[in-house]
Amino acid sequence: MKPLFLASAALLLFPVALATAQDFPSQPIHIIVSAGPGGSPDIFSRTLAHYLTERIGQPVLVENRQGGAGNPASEYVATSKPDGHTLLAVSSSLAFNDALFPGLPFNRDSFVPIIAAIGSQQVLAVHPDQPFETIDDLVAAAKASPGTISVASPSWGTTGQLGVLLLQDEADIELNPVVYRNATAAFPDVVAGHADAIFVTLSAALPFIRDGALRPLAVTTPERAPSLPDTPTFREQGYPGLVWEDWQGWAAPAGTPQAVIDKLNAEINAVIADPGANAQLVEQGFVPLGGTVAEAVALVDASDALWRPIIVRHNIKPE
Amino acid sequence: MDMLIQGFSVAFSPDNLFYCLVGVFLGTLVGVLPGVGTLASISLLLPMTFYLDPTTALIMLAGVYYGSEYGGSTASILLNLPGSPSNAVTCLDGYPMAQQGRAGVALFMTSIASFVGGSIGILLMMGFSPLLVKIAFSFGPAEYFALMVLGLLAATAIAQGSPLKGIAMVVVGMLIGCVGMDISSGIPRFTFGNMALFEGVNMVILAMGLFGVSEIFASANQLTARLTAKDITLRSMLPTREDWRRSAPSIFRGSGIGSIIGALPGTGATIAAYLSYTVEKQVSKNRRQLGTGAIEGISAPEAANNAAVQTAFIPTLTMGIPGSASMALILGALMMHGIYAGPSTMTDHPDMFWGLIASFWIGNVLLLLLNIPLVGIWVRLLALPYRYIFPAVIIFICVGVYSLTYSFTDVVLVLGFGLLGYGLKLAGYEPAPLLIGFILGPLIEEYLRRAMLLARGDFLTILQRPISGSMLLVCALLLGWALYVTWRRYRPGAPEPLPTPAE
Repeated sequence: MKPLFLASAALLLFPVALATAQDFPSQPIHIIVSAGPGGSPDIFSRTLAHYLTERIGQPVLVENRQGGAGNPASEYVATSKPDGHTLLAVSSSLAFNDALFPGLPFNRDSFVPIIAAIGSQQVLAVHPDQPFETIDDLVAAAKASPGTISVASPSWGTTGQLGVLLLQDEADIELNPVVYRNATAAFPDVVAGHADAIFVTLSAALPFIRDGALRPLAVTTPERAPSLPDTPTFREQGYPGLVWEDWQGWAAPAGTPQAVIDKLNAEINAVIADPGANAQLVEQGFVPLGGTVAEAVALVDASDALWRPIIVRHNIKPE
Repeated sequence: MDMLIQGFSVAFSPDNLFYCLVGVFLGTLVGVLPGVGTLASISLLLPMTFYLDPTTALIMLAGVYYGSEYGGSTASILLNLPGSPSNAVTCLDGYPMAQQGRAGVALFMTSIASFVGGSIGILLMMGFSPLLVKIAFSFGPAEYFALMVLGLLAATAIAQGSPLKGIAMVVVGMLIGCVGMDISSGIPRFTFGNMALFEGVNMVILAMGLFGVSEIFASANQLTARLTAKDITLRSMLPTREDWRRSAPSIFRGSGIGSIIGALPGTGATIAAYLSYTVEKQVSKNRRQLGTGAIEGISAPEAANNAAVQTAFIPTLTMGIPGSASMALILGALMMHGIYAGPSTMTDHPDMFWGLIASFWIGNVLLLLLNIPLVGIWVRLLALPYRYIFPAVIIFICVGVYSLTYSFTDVVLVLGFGLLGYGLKLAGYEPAPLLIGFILGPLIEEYLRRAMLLARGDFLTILQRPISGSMLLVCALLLGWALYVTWRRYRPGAPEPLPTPAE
């Protein structure tokens, strides 16, 4: 009798599950952003939310829960009802956050990625008075006098900070990494020449590069960045280990019905394909990405595979 | 000049004028309400600006920003409750003035000082932006470190009574400033595993708890109003000739200090207000009266913080480097519209740049017109029995604090700091040096470590750099002088120093 019972139960549940996907969203959707208003996760989330609201007939609201290195926001979403009405704005660090902060009550398995909506590249740039034109120049200088070239990175635990360590490992050099509070605190020191170089998100560095206040040496993308076509990649310059792409997107609490995830993914992809939204994202300095849920999961896996060993090798831990 | 005229034509367009008024009105309002900070209100308005023209959006957000500096002093003077941290200094003399029945004069003079400070800031911004940028660029971590040390030394001078108690408070403030995740190693300090403390104690919470909440605790037994309606006459609100004469030099000193400090990214209006107060304490003719309700004690810092919020736009707009969290928000608002502020902002978006500057001036005039008539209304607030005011204020504080981060810990903290402040008051310790220690302590650590990292651990480089070296020399001289004076006062045979009363 048991299999029959289960089958009938499944049959009974099936329309219910179907109903959740069809009725979704039945109430306003909240996007929890761990950054403050005006931060890049906030800007892209608001842009997507604005267009998504028009498509799905429910308001999509961005909520900022700042502080605690982003962990309170993640914990809030991880413990929210997994019905697709509470989502989290996430980035590459979703993959390795638990390696940086051991002992938190959540990890990457507490979330299901919905989409990697936008990509962002990192650039290594130097003060224009520095003699370096290529990565090889910088590496040669660092080999000649180890530990003297100061490289600023925006803040602790970001791929910019980890990227400096990766560069040291790949080129077998010793740099002088200087970690700042945030990118905006780091720029003045590099632009004024107090620090020699900076490893930072390309979109944030672009205005300085365009004004000639910084000279870009290399970008981390597999191919050259469209916004910086004259700057070679690390791979082109013989450092194939320094290839990665950062991404930002949205995730739902684990246990959210697959149908809801798929519907959100399809709708957000439609928003990204919308010429208006796409143009706005590009104007804001983002590279619109989009793609399937599986592609988002693959990106999380790739970030995990790249950064977790570096975090472990350099023993980057708060304790 | 042509540029400025063009700017005024942008600023005087009906839309921009309307949103400028909205901005400064909201700014005044959130400045007056304790707990609702500038940061929170700009955050709330930011999504709205999505639907506005970028220049209009910027004009409104900027209005909120400098408008709250005007309003922030109101609660400082009336209730000893700083609307924003940069107005905490105004409590020191503003609140005693209110207790002496001169709240109207204090509020009136605050508006005037704010207006003059703001205007001087704008003038400097128009004429000397490139020069100020140059000064700001010559400030590396070593220079910031030296500047902060100087500020810290000055903080102990703010204390009224025993210098030992002043130093003790600065140290306690620095310790509280240590709470949170260390920026270069990620190590959480004094967080007790509480995630809400990861990014440290919020300055607004500390300032409100120490000054405002403790004041409410202290006067909880005094439930009747201090003033009766018949005490309030127009005459009692207007500053006397003496008030004007004493304020004028302070306002100009404050404006000058504020303009320079504001242009340095990484300092801001709070430090400007403190420094100008300290300078008054050294050079003003009536320096001995400071802290007991002297008018210089409000006109200098109010001129300074308003000048600073104007010149704070220089690094933000000309380099894309925000000097404060609120400035970072304003920069974010520009990014939303696809405008990246940088050295070319002035040439790429001249309408926006000059329109904004022109709107600052219009905004300051609007604020003056808005605030002078309000003085009468605010003073009447004092005629309300405290049994109505106090519960309302406590509720405002708690709701405001909760709205900052949705964190219950913060509500507990603000009440806890209130209790701490009450205890300190009973024991004769002053909260002002604690607050400045809290602000400067973490900055000193951050800049010193960064300077050391960049110099590969060679402390001598800090002394060899001309700006930082001379600032540290000034510190050493000040310290030596203070020690010498103390030694003379306490050496055997010296007359016993008078004990300072706790109030």
